[in-house]
This record gives sequence, C-alpha cells and structure tokens, in this order.
Amino acid sequence: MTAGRRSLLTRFNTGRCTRRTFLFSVLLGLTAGGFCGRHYALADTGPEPCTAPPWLWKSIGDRQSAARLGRAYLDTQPEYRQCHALLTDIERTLQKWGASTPATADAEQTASTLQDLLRKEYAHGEVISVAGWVLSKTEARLYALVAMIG
Amino acid sequence: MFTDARTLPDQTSLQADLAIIGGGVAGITLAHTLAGSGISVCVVEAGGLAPDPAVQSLYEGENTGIDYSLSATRLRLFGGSSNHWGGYCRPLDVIDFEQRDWVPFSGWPFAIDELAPYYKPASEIVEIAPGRFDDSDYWQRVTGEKLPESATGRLRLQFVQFSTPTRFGSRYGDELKTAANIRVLLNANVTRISAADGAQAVKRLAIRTLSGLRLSVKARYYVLATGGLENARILLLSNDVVPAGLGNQNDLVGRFFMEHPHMGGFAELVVADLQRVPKILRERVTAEGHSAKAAFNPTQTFLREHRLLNATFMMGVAGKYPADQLPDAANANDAARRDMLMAARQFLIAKDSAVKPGRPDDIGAWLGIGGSCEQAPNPDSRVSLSTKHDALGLAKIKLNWRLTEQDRLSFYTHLHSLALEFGALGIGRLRERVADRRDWPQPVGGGSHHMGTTRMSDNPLHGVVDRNCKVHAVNNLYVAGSSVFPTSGVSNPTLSLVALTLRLADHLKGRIR
Repeated sequence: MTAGRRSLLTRFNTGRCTRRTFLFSVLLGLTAGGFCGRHYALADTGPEPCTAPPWLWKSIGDRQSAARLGRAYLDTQPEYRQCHALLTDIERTLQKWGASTPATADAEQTASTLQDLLRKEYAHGEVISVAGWVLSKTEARLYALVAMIG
Repeated sequence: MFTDARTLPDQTSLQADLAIIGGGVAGITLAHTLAGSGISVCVVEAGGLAPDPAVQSLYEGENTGIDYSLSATRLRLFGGSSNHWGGYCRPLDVIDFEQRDWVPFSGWPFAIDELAPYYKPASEIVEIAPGRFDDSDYWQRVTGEKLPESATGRLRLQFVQFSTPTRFGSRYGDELKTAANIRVLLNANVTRISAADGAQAVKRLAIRTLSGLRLSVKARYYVLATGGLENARILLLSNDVVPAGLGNQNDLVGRFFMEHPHMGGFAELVVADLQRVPKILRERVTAEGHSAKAAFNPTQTFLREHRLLNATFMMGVAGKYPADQLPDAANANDAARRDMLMAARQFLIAKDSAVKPGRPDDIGAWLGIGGSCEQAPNPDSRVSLSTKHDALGLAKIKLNWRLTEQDRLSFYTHLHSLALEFGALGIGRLRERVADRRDWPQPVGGGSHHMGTTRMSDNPLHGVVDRNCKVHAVNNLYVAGSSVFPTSGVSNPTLSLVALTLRLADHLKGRIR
C-alpha cells in the first residue's frame, strides 16, 4: 500500500469496512467497492453513516449544492451508496492517474491534486451524466460523498 | 439598366450573351463581376426592389419531412435572401471537399486549393476583411487575450467573420443599373427553361409576370441562380423535352437536399469566472477591420478517427448570478445552474486567479450554446414537385427534408466533446439536454441554408453539374449557388457560394469571348 492510500484510508474510517477487508477483497480480484458494498447492501437498509475526510471540504464548494448533485448521482448509481466504496474509488483513480497523495499531504494539497485529476478525467472522457451535467466520475463521487455525509 | 417586366409589351423577347436567372447573391455576384466586360448580360429577377406578399407567396410549398418554412427561409426580391442574411462568413474546411469513406456520396471534384484563390475576392464582395479564419495567434494578438488550447484534442478554435451584412441588391444595384452591358429585368418569373430538341442546349427562357404578360429571353449561355430550392424546382418544371426535367436524366435533380441542422436549448454551460472565457468566445470582437467571433469546431484528426461529420458551436452569455441575488425558487433550471456553480466552484477557479473561491461576489454565469452540424448527403432528402399549383399555374415545390442517425450521432458526439473540453480546461460544466437517443429533439431547424439539390460531380450518374457548374449534357446551361455543393460542410454557405460564382465567372468569360 502506498503512503497515499494509507493516508486516505486512515483519515477516513467508516468503522465498518476495514483496511484488511479492503485488501482481502483486492487479493480476491473483487472490487473493493463490490465486496464491501455487498456487505453493506446486506446489512443496510438506509444511508451508511459517514465521517468527512478533512480534505473533502477543501475540495468542495457549497455543501448543500454538492449534496443535491450527489443525490442525483446516487439515484442512478445505487451501488455507490457506501462511503468506503466512494472513497476507495476516488483513491484508486488518483493512483491510476499517477496522482498519489503522500502521507504528509495536507488537505489543501489533496484538494489541489483532485482539481488536476478531474481535468485529466475530462480530457480522457472519464465522465458520467448527472442530472444532465457532464461530470468527471471522481467529481460525481465527491458530490456523492457529500450527500452520504449529509 | 433596370426594367420592370410588367411595363414591357406582351410577347417581348430580349437577347443577351448571358442570361442569369435570379438576382440574389450568386446572380448579382456574377453580374457585378461581368459589369463593363463587354458581355451583354440580362438578369431575370422574379421579384421587385421591395418585398411584395403576392410575389413572396410564390415560394410557398408543401412539406412532407421535417417541418420547414419554404417561404420564410428565402426572399423573392432583388438581392434575394441577402436581404435577411445574418452575415456569417467562413470558408469550407479542407476535409469538406474530400471523399470520406464514412460519408456516403461525399467528395467534391476538386480540393479546396481550387476554390482558395477566390475566397479573397469573395471576402471583398461580402465586405469582410480577408483571411484570419483559423489564425488563433492573430486573434490573441489583436484582442490581447490568451485563447485556450485544446485540452482534449477533439476541438479547435476557428473564427467566423461577420459581414455588415451586405444587402446585395442595395450594395450592387446602382452599379448594375448604370453598367452599359447589364439589364436587370424585375418582376419576371422564369416558368420554363426551354431546351432545343435533344436537350443539349437551352434555346430560351419562358417568362411570365403576375400581371399576365408572357415574355422571353434568348441568350448564348444561361446561369440558373435562384437558390438551393428553386434551382431544382425550375429544372423539374422545365420538362418539355426531358419529361423528368432538364438535367434530370439520372433522377438527381432535387435529391440530396441538405441544411445545417440547428437546435435550440440543447445545452448550456456554466462558468464560475467569466474572465476565463475570452471575450471573442462569447461575443463579436472588432479588430483591424474584422468583426469576428470564435467557434469550437472538431479537429480534422478527430473527425477522421471517429468517422464523424463536421459541426460548429458558438456561445454567448445568457445570464449572470450575483451572489446577493436570491435564487428564483420557481425556476428549476436556475436552481440547477446555481447548484452546479456552487458545488464545483473550487474546481472552476484558476489557482492563480484574482477571483477567490471562498466568498464569491459573483457565483458565475451561464452561457447559451448555438450549434449546427453537417448533414450527410442523402438521396431521400429531396425537393420534388407538388400536385398543388401557385398563382402562375406552376407546380409548387415539395420538400422532404430528412436527417439520419449519422447526423444525430455526429452532433451529439461533438456536443459531448464540448463538455469534455470545458471540463478539461477547468473552466466550466456543461449540461446536455439532448438525450442520446434516435429521435432528433424538437425543434430542429435549419439555418436557411439550401444545399445539394443540383450537386456537382464529374460523373453524370452522380451529379447534375460538372466541376465547372455546367449541367451535364446541356452545353450552355450552368448553375450557381449552394445547390451545387456535393457536401455541405458546416460553414455558412454564402462566402463559399460567392467564391464558387467568381470561379464560374472566370470560366464563362473564357467561353463567351
């Protein structure tokens, strides 16, 4: 695990899908979101309780606006109704684009890294439609995270 | 000399070296070029010097395809449709002339090099400063604003220039009135292009006035220049020797009708910092005699790789959101735009911007997008004759304008590219209102651009006119205007049809002398 991954995961603890569970799912060739998601899907009938990672509020503008967009995203992507799945996906995308988040990175740096990542996603067509808006997948998941946190 | 046909004795027959049917953009351009040349020219114009509802009603017809106004998209008076022209000028692109294996029936008989020398004099005729259509460096220099470079490789900036716009009738009318070799015959409706036996030559034009006079014009050469709808109709009506219509031995006259499909309200863009959208992208800019605006067009590489048709997008500020302005609770679109701007604000403010993301004075702005696309040549999109008749007793026009899935897919893909481009530049977010489905959204309209109905090809089996705009197998009949375009490109056709007419003038000068 890179320092960046450790950084994100240790800063964001749902208390339900542990790092070990996450790694186990990766070794099995499952998507972390899918494995953990299945767990939550079975156990959960409502929104998963979430804690905001500190960099989130540095990245997002108005929370209520972001949450409305996030809910629109979750309506069409119900498999992402899990904070850990969303966070894991964001982290994996950061790594995919070579934008690891060092353990020492502060919230400001992470927000800046995310801004660059989003632009790369747009440039490569990694987008999804949310209420008609063409949004980078990570951007949409950030809003979904806000919606989950409430 | 201007002559009102209604003042001539019945059965008058006039003679000239060249008869030009139609006093619109192409007809006037040709007459203007030949003024003082020693070649006698008779311009036969169906309208007068001012609009007349009775005359204009002769343009009415029947629609069997996409709803389309046959009367409102063209004008039947001296100066023709230049009297309501918007003034948009841009040459066709290199790729527009090419035979593209993914575009059926594509390919001009020549490359853009053949037409390129005529764009400069054409620019003078439509009264724009020449060139600078693709020169981003020039526009950066004269506007003092850095223009964005493509972040996706899908789109590029090109530039449209605006004519004042030139109203050809008033701009060139006095010149034609005083030219010794030019006669403009007004209120003279050509009802038939009469061919000699064998249809290898035209022998005269049959003309009627709404007042009931019958006249004729005899010439050595004839140019049909009545616009992309009427050119086909007049050839189809000229069926005394060839029952299918003059030049229509291969059932091509009227087929391949093309427009530039335009859609309204199909997308909108929100930006948090309007300063990041250079002025020339959002409004017309004047510099060194040019009046211009930037457009986002697909790169030719992207068109080739993805086998798409051409398209163009322009934008303008539609609304702003000051921070102290309360949202309109009843306006869902307003709320959606505000949400997008407020949520993405951190991503839409440049890191070195004077605008701060934290406490905005302005939330941002939204821009409306205008877009149109190339239509693939389609033989089933066509002009034919109706069973209904006009006030002259002639069969009215019948239009069946059709679009295809290829047209729709191209437009949608390029619209999506625009969303990606603004996201990748970190400037804005785009909301699409065109669902990715097979139906074209309503309303789809046109740009009053009538093209393709007498298409150009060296092969008579594939075109009505040859590379010189001469009707195949008719030795002295030519066609001028955008009806000869085999493909439409996406540029507004006026500048190119003027250039093509200047090329035709050179050809005719050589033949007539």
